[in-house]
Amino acid sequence: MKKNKVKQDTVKHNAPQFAGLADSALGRWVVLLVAFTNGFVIMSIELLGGRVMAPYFGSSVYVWGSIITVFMLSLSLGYLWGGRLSTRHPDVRLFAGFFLAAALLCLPIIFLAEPVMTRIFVSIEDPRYGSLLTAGLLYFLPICVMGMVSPYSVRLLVLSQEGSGGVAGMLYFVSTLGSALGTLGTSFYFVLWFNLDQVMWGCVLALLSCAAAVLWAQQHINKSNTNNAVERGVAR
Amino acid sequence: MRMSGLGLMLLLLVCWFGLDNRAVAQRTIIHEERSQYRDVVVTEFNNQRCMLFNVHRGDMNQTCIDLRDPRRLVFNYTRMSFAGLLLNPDPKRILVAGLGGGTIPTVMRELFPEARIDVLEVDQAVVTVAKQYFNFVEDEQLVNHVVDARVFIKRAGLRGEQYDYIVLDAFSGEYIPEHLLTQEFLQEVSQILTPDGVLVANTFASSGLYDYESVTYQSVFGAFFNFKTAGSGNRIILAKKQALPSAAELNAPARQLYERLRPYGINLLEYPAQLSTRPDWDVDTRILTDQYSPANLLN
Repeated sequence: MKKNKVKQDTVKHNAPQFAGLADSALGRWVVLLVAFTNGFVIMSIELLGGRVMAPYFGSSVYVWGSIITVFMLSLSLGYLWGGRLSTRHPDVRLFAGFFLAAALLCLPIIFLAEPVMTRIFVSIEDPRYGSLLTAGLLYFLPICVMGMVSPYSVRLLVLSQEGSGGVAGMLYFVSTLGSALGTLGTSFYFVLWFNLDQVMWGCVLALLSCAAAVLWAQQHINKSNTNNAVERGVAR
Repeated sequence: MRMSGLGLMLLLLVCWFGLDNRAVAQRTIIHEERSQYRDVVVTEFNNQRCMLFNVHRGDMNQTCIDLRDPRRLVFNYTRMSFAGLLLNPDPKRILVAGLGGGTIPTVMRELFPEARIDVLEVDQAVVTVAKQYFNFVEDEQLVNHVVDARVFIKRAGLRGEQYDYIVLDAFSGEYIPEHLLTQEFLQEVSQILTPDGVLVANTFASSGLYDYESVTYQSVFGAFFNFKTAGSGNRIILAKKQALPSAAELNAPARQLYERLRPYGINLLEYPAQLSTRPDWDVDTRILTDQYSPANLLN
């Protein structure tokens, strides 16, 4: 509780900076771009999930059922928690942190999928529950964090109550468009051009680039704000 | 070369669609079974009863039986698959991946009453239809498992089970599922194959995947017998873990088994001369792996 209070203070302190992302065209573009990339990466990883799990659980309809269930569940909780966080701790650095965390949480999909699936394969006979548990262990955390991006981006871009629906609509538009293209690109082309792990590394890199882009935009905007405005205590 | 191949394919496709429309018009659908995967349709035409997937999208017969002479095998590739017996004339533990109408396991059951036969079929609807319309009968020696072939084979490997005769004949509506085409899968198959056992794999003789499949099988089993006949669009791969015998050495088992296989319309004597170990594919093609298996995009 006490910690919360301190944070609240920081928030107020940062508030002008925070509005900065939405104020500048650059900031708005960067938020839209990372929301697009986030949507793209989510569906790319989901499609690869079927490939990752097929050697252990087959490509039966219930394997897809498991994957889609876990992705939907992760996203729904991500939306909920991301929304709450955006109210309590709106902070551009935290926003960048989501992408960094998502990138790191994707690494177990590359490095631990085999041992995890072997263990589960040995201990659970029914491939329905085996695939469900595997999907949960490998995908819940990264996809949940990626789900947090959406409501948080809304918070970053909304300036007024009357504009909020338009901002949310625009963000749904770009992120779902990203998802559509991520699905198409992965299923039509990436699996033809690359190994599974190479596509996964591509997703990790894309997420890291998002984190970097957000931090860079914030810094850039701060700098120009500082140049234009009166000296503020926060500026270095 | 490539262009003419494409032209030929187009021509065949046009002919096929033409024939197809006519055939569908005269066929009677006698049963439709709802499936978790793709609905299974049973048709009758000209005293042949067939099982089909994907009727609406240019249907492909999964299996047919001759109603006047149910023992006679209708498809050339089904007959060709029994060439595996040249390499192992007396199988004791048989595994068949892909049930269809149950033709191959049923014939094996008749030929080798002592053998224990496991059949793998992922789709319960196919099993139901095979039993109702294609005389497929399970008993204590012949057991069907409703399971993905990859899952069953991986588990059998963990249990240390082995088979001396394995038939890979699992097809979805389009082609062999992607996860049953990779190097890792074939290694798992190899693991449950006895040292003197034989692997019989049914594939297409002309598809975009031909080269990929060939190099992948070669990477796991080394040289294998490639079995193609003029009258069939299928290619049967016959592989062993041990070194292959020469094709001439197969004449003796062919003569031995000839009489027993004749009632099914299989002329085993013709087969040894048609087996080849010479690669007729591009050996530099990329091997299919679990990491890289865009199989149905390459087809």
